[in-house]
Amino acid sequence: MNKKGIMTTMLASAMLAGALSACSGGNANSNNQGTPETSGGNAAEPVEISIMLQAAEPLPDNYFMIDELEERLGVKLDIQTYLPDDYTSKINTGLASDSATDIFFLSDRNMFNKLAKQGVLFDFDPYMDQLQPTVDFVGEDNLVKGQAAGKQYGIPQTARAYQYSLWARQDWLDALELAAPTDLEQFQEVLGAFRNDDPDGNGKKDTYGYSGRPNEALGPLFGAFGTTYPGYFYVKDGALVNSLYDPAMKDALAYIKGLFDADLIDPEMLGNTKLQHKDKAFQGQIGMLYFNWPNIAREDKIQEYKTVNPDAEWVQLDLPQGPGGQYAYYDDLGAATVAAFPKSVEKDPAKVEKLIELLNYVSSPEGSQLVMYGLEDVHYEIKDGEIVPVSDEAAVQEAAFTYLFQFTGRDEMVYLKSKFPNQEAAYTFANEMPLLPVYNSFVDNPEGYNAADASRYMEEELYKFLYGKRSLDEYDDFLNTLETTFGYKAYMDAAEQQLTELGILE
Amino acid sequence: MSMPATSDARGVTSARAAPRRRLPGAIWRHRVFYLMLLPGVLWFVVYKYFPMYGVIIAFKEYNLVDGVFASGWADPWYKYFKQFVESPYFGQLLANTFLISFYKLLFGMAPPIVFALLISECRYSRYARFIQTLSYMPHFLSWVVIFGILTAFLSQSSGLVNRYIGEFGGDPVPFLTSTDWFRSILVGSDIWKDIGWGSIIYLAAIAGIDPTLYEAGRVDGASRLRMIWHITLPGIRNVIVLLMILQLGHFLDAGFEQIYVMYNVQVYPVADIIDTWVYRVGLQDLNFSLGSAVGLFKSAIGLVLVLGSNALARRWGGGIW
Repeated sequence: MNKKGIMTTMLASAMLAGALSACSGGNANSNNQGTPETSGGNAAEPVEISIMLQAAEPLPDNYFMIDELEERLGVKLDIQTYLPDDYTSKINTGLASDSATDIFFLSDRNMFNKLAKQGVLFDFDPYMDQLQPTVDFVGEDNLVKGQAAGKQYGIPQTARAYQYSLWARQDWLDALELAAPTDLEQFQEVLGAFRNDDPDGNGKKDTYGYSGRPNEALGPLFGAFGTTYPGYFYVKDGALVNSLYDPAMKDALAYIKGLFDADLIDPEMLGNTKLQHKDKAFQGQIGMLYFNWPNIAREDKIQEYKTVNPDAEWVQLDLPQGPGGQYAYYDDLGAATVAAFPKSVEKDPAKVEKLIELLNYVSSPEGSQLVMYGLEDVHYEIKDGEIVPVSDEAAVQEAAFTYLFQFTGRDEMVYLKSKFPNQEAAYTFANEMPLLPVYNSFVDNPEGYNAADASRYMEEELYKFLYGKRSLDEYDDFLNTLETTFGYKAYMDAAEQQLTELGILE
Repeated sequence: MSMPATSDARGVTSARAAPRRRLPGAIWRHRVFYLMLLPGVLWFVVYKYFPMYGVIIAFKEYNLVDGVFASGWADPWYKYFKQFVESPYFGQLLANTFLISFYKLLFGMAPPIVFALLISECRYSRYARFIQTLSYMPHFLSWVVIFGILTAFLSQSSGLVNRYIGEFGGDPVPFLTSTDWFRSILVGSDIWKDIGWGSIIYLAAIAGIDPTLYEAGRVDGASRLRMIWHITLPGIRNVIVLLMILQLGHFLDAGFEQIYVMYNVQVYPVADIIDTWVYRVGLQDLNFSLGSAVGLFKSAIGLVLVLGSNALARRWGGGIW
């Protein structure tokens, strides 16, 4: 618009070129292509990039990160944040009305597949060379999570650390003179003692052994039998198995049913949809919990349960060992949050160039430091070679939103170490939990299979078995109904065919 | 407003016995009113009628790239209606939706009326106004918050009510996770939330009753209850019928937000309604066509209910139109 504006832009892009080539020698190629674009003839206007983010809280006004990225990359950013509930529908309407943002994020594999099939996603394949820094950052093996029908339609983010593990009241164990359980038998004994032997010494039978969210808490118990929740595909003894058909499933159900029969488990477990189980646990009603460390091990949470009972002490426990080994949960190998562009950006090569540059930048050492911690001496300091938050509370608050800009993820362990130095033991422990690798996200539902109905039926019947409302002898009838009425047979066939084609079975 | 205007217009035209055709003349004579009506009509056309073309995706294989018109037709055209009807849960969904709506209508109709009567009969107007304002409050709470309150009271292990039951030696009742209680809790909390808000319109109607009727009643020695029965209730009868007919139009809605917040696997058999099913199926499979088909199905039934109930009400002399 005016001379000053042009000057700033050119200056910014010159600085950017300097910064990029300084920090990542490997991608000189893409820099050379990027720089003439911006500082060339039509560089007067910075490229506009719109990004849709999913955030529980809106971004503060004039957030520093936007200015910082704009300046470093010579772009104009339009950041839109939506609540998790709205996010999916916003993407859909955006794509339907051809007004999608230039970058958006998909965390549901099924939706990713659908969109890829409908041809609304940008195909990264011709640009993979230029994306090399990003690929190095997220990991070559990871890329398959952003592929559909053999094409790269999304850039998966780096995997997040696993946060869940078993937690127990150490003070209760001590009061009852019990050791931490190591196998399933001891596990049941400990839960029984928590329920029946008055661990809190108040003379009332008002405590339960175990709780958690219904779709998470049973993970370690299924895991001890070498299986997991119904309907997941994994490889066992060289064969592809669906947990529903694994003989171990029945054993696991029988064991878990025993816990329910003995009334050891929070009777409202199925209603624990939010944080009800944590509240009950902190109020001293639950002895063992399957939950994530940020809700238990952070200082404010410790404060929270110590206020109720100063003697309370929550510790992490190892998984009980069972006939099928030890697994905390499953790990869906195909599931990841992927960054995607709408297909329409193809028409604008200058924009594609900038989008790729942006992804590469937040994956570079310099850029990833920026989006992990903010600005040096403003949000963090370097002391003895380690990154520590500054003492200014307001600055730390401001830096709390930088995670939204980790478009390609982050170096999780380094990040956690600097953000939560006091919880290192807790998150390391949780991250080392063994997980059963499953392949469900790679399966594309066959035409006419109603996944929602089938999963409702599976879930309902699972709990009928566990609560003793349906006899385990009818397990085969249950499978039969699932296969016929709910079309699970077609799904099984499709899944086996697709997974075999993918080469999961060597 | 429009009723007296047209009858008046008719009267005037016939009196002059002009050879002009009736309607355009009438419109021209009342052009100012029609002009004032125009923005409203436009709003409805643009935002309510024009988007209706979108319902055709209920009959199409809707694809984001091709858009509403270019997407191919579903084969057969009723494919998505069929998918809905053939779901193993179709019968249960329909039954739940009807039952929950019916209970809400049945048990939810009287409380706001009774509440409005109580408020209007209250002699200390300051107290009445205070109570009235207080009663609006729950209407502005979201269902998530209300569910939090319900959990605090009704939770099986930690809820206040179950603590009392426990103190008196009873067994805790799983109010929120049992199929026996879930619908009662749904309907009860719905009534609690909207009792104050729902009474506003009745209070306005009561305020509009001619006070001389009450004076006449008092002179004739009618008690308060008699006056309520013979003056107030007949006075607001039309409003009651109007609200009931309007509510029938939403009969198949049954309150998605409330149920979505409150339900869990254990109560699916009594709580899963059409809308929650569409949400789960549509969200998992990006199935816009199915969503539209079910929406159309619901609207069609809602329309029939509104027309039918109005016809019925008119027979008794109280229809809306």
